[in-house]
Amino acid sequence: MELKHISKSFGAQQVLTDISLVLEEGHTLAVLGKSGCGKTTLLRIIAGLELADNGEIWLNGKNMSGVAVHKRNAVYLNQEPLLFPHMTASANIAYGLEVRGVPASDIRRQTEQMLAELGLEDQGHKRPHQLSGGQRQRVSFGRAMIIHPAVLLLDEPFGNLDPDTRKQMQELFMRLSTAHRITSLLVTHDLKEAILTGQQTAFMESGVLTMYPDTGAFLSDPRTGGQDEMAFWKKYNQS
Amino acid sequence: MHRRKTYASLVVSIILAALPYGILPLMSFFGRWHFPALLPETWTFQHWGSFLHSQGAVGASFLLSLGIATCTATLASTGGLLLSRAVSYSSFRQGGLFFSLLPVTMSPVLFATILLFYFQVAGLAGTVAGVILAQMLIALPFAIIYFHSFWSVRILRLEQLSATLGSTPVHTYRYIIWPVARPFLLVCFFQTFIISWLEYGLTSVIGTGQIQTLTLKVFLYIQESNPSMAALSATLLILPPAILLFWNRRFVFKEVSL
Repeated sequence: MELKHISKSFGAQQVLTDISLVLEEGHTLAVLGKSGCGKTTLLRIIAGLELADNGEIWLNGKNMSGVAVHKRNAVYLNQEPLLFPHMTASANIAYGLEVRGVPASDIRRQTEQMLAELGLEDQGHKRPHQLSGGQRQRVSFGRAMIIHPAVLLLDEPFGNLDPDTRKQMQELFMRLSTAHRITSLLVTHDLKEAILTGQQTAFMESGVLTMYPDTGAFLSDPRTGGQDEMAFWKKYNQS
Repeated sequence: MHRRKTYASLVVSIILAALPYGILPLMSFFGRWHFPALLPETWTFQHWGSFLHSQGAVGASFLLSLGIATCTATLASTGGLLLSRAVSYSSFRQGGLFFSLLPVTMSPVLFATILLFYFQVAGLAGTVAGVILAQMLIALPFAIIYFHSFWSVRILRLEQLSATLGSTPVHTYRYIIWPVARPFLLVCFFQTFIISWLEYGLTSVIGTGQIQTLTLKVFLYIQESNPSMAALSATLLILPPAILLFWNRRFVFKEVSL
């Protein structure tokens, strides 16, 4: 995925300023930033849910400018694991395959396989309201990953989960995205989550994106809070 | 003591609500009944016989009302769902809701009198299509306002999620929005059916006396001092809403919640 000079403003407020980046196939780019820095707008523009004022989006070598949302193959997931309430967990996971006209036998096989990968083999028949928050998030990931999207856009996906479930979900996400070679852009305001989940890291502030060549450079930037975090643990260990 | 009062109030309310379902069918069997007798002198099946076995006026009105109410409710519910979405997600939301409320706030007879000229010019006065269109002027705004609460941010997100998963807008409507909206659609259908079924003012003016729905027939029989036929018509009038209410109770409130 490549973004070239993306800009966006809402009225007089400039939300995104000249954002350019290249994301390798199968990699996860973790974008760290505070609330209101423009992260969500960036993801929505890539998904086609918002229009950029300027710039281009390239997915798998194709310019997505003017391409309808349903033809982009860019799945957008936000903080809330939004499942279709009238469908079972299996039907939710199978939805993207059915939309693509995949034969029924293949859908069944792939859905069962995905349920097993998610650790939800015995939960496929349940409706969303019968699942826990963590299980719903798993189904949400499975539904997105089963269609092998050109890019998976994750808007603080673990923000609503308790620490234990959050850790499990981070591990599950890394395992699945590696196994299925999913290209992802994950935005978070959690420093450790950004380091853990991203092969590439970036920081966003007031609509301006800064990419880093490696984790060391990311942590060295005082704006990311990495130096403060390390100083805290160093002081804590000494005491 | 307080509990006893509540219980008594409940029993009285139930009796009052159920009264029309008992008295109206009973009155439809009244034969000769002259003042000052408290009860009718004769009882007869004649009215029901003529309704069931012949092409009588009441039977025709019943079928006509059923057709008009079903058409109006179907068009208002489906049209209201789609139009309400356009109003709810537009920047003209407040204005759209205000204009939707306008026809409902006006007296139906006054509204119909104002519109009659235009219906006559369009050749719709005194036709079934004209009456359906006139009733839609009340039923559709009701449906738009009713569905306004359905089109929440959550529904918009479901739509967007479905689109990012590769679904076309038509597919999203068919497999996501329609099933999720089903309980709302059923309740709206019921409400707009009742609006149309019991509508008098617009129907009598726009129908110009040529479209004799069952509601109009009841008033006609009352004016003619024909209580038995008025009771028979009224019995038929309360039947479909009662059946729909029963369906609503059994199915609508057990549907998926958002």
